[in-house]
Amino acid sequence: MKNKVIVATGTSQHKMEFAVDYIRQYLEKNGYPADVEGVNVYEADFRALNPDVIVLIGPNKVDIDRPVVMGTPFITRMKMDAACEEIASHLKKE
Amino acid sequence: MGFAGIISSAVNWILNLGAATMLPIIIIIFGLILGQGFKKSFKSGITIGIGFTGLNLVIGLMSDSVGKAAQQMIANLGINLKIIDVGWPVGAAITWATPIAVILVPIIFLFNMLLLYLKQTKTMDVDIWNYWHFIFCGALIYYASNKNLAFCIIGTIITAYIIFKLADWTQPVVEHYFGLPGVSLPHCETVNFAPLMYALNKIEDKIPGFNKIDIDEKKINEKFGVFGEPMTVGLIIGVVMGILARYSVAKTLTMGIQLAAVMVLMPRMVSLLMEGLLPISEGARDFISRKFPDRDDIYIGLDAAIVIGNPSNMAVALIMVPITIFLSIILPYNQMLPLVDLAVLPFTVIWAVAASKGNIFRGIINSIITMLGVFFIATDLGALTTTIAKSVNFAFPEGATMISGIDMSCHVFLYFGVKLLTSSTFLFGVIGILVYFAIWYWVRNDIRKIYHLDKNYKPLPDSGDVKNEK
Repeated sequence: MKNKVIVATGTSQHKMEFAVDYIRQYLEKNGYPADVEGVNVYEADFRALNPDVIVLIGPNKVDIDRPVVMGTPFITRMKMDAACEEIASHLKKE
Repeated sequence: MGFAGIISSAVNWILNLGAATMLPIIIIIFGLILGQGFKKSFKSGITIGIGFTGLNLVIGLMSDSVGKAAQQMIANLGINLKIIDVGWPVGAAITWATPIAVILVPIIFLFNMLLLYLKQTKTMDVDIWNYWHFIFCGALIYYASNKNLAFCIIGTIITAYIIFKLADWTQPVVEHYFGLPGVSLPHCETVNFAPLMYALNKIEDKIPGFNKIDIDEKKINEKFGVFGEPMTVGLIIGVVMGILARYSVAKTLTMGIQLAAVMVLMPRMVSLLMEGLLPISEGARDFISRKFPDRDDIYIGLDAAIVIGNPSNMAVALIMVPITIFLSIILPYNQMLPLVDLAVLPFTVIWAVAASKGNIFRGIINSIITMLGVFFIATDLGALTTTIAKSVNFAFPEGATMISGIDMSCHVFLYFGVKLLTSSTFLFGVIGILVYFAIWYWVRNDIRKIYHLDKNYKPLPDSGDVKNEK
């Protein structure tokens, strides 16, 4: 079964897409099958989305008990692989 | 010809090639110097050339359609809006095309490193693309001072110093209100409004009844959100311009689609320019990581695009689109027709909204006051921005005598700095700068108080964990 990663941001669409693409490519390359989806952190219904892990770039509005990884590296573009490793640690491998 | 003469001729030859050919060569050289390898540097250089060429194509579309319609509309309405708002993408392209850009990028970067080393700032500005705002400031000073390079460099350094200080000062807002710890926004044309907006907020706090008013941003975003999309703004304004220019129905509709295309395609072309600058940004990040490996007190300075998704911010920006157009018509001193940069209002209003912690009503009032200043600056500096555009052979929209933009006119502190360069406006510049700093001094502790922080910007013991307010 595929993992589900939600990238919740309060950024512009362009910056959200960059984070989503980077995480998706990292997980694909490292053998973690996952749907990676970008959402607006202010509007997201996390219960309905039911993710395995949430990558947060913005205020913490998460109202469910799921692992939250700080996504700041994807906007600073520093230590992105370390953040991806942390995301992967919460997912199931192929 | 000696060796120095040969080098000088080679540099001049490259600088005279035009931005689309000159910048790829410069980027390849910079990339190689920063150790990014030939393949990566070469690809980035070509990408930047493609971005410029694409941008010129879109400017051509704008010149053919928008300029003509604007001219016709202005003649029909009898309004005096002779400065065309060509938008921030053009502002950035013109700025990167100036010969001083190549000199100022390493100067700003090294100056930032020096300030970090001396612990004069905590902001490490890795957003090389947005150095264009600093360079734009330098370009204004350069052309306002008859191409005095020393004034240009000194003015750019002073601007950068103030912006880094403003970024440090406003960092708690980025952390606690926008939820981005460790990040600051040394984004010249937005953060320079912060002291003024906090001062307005302070005054508004003292007006009885004022602080009770708010508007539900959810309803605004749900009902009118689509009208805030650049393509919709472009379509509507294009159609309205077509009607006011007394075009036929077919031509009016075409006009709408063409302006929508300009609004959407310009930022796409700019994203290629940004992509082309990546090896420089990555080289800068590598350099910084090596030089300051143990500093955990450093904020990463980024583009304000990381916070514009805030719903209160989007709601205010949306409401400000018609208000901005209305202001442009009724303000007796204004000569700028707002167009492409109506899409940049989510950036312009960031501090108007953040200072009021997301209060939409105050955000709108603060944004209106911001725009009063922006139109004044746009009109006053219109001739200067036009001079810069002409110096890099920018293709002017048909009928446009002058160009500027909302974004280009958001540099408040710099505006007063430019006034210092002319004897007749020197006193005005001095007073403006003094008032700016006096206002900043007046509100210097406000952010700390709002977010319950001590003098070292650490949470006060009794404040608990500061939560985001909205």
